[in-house]
Amino acid sequence: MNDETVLAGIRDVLEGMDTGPVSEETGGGGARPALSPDLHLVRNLDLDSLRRIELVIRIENKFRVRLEPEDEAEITTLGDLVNVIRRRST
Amino acid sequence: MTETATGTEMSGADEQTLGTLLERAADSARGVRILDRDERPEFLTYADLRDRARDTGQALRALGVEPGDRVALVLPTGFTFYDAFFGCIMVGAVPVPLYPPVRIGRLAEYHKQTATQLTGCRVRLVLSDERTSRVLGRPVAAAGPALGLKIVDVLRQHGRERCRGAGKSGTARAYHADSGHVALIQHSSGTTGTPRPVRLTHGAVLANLQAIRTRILRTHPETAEFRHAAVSWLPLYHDMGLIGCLLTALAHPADLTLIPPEAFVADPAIWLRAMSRYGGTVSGSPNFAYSYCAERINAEDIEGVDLSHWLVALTGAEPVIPGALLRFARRFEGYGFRLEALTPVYGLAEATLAVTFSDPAEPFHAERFERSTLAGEGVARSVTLTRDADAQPPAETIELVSVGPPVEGARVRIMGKDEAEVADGVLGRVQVGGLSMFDGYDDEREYGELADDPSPAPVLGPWFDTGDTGFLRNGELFLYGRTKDVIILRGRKYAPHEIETALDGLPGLRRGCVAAISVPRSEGEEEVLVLLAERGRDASPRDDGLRAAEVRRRVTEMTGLVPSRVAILRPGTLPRTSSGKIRRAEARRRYCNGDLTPPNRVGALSLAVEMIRSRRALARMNGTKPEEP
Repeated sequence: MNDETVLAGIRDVLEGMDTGPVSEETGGGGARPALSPDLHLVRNLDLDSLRRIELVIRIENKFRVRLEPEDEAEITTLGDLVNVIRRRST
Repeated sequence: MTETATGTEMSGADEQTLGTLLERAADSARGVRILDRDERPEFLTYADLRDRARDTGQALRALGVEPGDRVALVLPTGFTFYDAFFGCIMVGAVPVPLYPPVRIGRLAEYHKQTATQLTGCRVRLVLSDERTSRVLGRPVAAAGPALGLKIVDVLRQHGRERCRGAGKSGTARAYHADSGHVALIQHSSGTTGTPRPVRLTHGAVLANLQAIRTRILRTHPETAEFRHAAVSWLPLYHDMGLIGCLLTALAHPADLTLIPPEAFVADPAIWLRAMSRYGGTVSGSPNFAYSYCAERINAEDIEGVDLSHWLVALTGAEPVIPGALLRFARRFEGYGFRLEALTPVYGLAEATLAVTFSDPAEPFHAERFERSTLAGEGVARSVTLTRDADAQPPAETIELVSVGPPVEGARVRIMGKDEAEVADGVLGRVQVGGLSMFDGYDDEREYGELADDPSPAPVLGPWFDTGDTGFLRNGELFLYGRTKDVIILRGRKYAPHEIETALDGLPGLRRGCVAAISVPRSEGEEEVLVLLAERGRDASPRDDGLRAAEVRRRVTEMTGLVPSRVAILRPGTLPRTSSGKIRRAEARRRYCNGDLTPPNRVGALSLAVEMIRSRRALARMNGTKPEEP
């Protein structure tokens, strides 16, 4: 899996969660959202603790990976998440 | 339930403890089913769980765990929780369930809180699983429990080998506790929102389990053909999950189906599917879960689901919102769910769990009261409205839900300002007492905060001030508000100052001039978080929008809570005491009445800021010039 595939997968997950600015941007015209690696998951996506759990579980189901507690400690941005998913899916 | 003969280990023990409950449940064919995230069940009988607990207990004893030792359990929902919890009970040690780590980020706060909790109860041993233990190194090192951190599965394996070596499993004799011994410690967010370790004796816990069972069985008795079955997604480190589900099912004994809380959060329909598949008759949640289900579950998620066996749908742990319950009932009535099942209850960790229970066979009882008489004179004057479903309730009334009369062995009284009990229908501080009251906070090892009544009744114990306000009406409790500035969101209490400290040192704000409050989203709805912050003296109001967005971000990042509104106020707007402390309750009152400077709604604004940021970031990635919005 390359970065683009992973990013596209994360975008699907976030759209499914109907969260924050990402889905707002796509809501109207159906244009693909701006998901950049430095997007801060908690800050930029307004993810409270429940939504974070939801994100992790959805990501795990989508990519058939298990995010380990020590992985999660290092995840703050979308780029971090992409790296962890790639690492765990090999 | 039939009394069955207890094992030889229990001979002579007339007194019931959690250990005797497990032994008795092991004589039944009942057990616990745990679903994984793909909803695959694994079932163990209580006899299996008792044997596993003996093995674990054997290993704990070999490790040097002594009766009375505090043993922290940091475990997700799973059979290892039973192993560790009842392994402790078997050797007379005191299990202290703690939160497992949060997902994504905030690990530093988690480490700090966990270290404080380990130290506060003088924990001698931490039990975890292999996976979770990998992030527990720091708090364990900071607290330094004498026996360190052990993995439950490894211990149980050791214990089993020891038992086999000894020839028969019966050699692991259970510790002979009596009802006055400490059974467990559960953390409560208390009356202030700061977690405190609540110490409970076997006697207190068993009295509460008995009270919960009796209340349910009185309205829904079992017959030869009908048996209760419980289903729960609640975390086991939470009183409602541990006492209300795990231990109540054990005491009955009833089959219990457990769903990992994470699985519920990701897909709330798993709860309803489990209720249907396993014929659940009893299940409960804080109010928010009922809203969450009504909002999030689609028809295709619950195709063929049958909720008609659901007799008791408990709702507690946070203010009961009639609108939310009605929405849930309407949303799922087509699946057999009945309005009468909804049963508002009231409880707190300091009372083990249950204090009052409304009638499990009746629709919940909501009543309208004159708002001004209640707020002004503190008198509950009921208002009868003409039964017109579409009529808007008059703004001068407030709808409150009865949480019912006290359960067996529990007592409730309402205290007025002059420390005297007030009459029926008069508002005051809610105090509770009875057989299930806690034995003290374990981080101070004394009765300090309990000694409210100079002459406590000899059997029913002293009174505890809950921090809630309310009134009794014909013996039923109605909750109105809180005496302290506690914020309750989704069944959890938060101390406002812990949210406010997230804003320390934020440029453009006056340090310490911040108030975190919660207000109803709209009339009769759930409470949401609102941050009120004063602008710095030299800061320009033009930047209030960005400032509010930053407040929102900081709070979200540091507390995991997303403020629904942020108001940036002119310096000096927030009401203060003579000593300069912010008066949150007054700030809240003024905010609700619109007497503070009109708030900036940051939702749309922060959204716009994020959109610009995202576009720029994308442009940087693609090497193009950002398009100006």
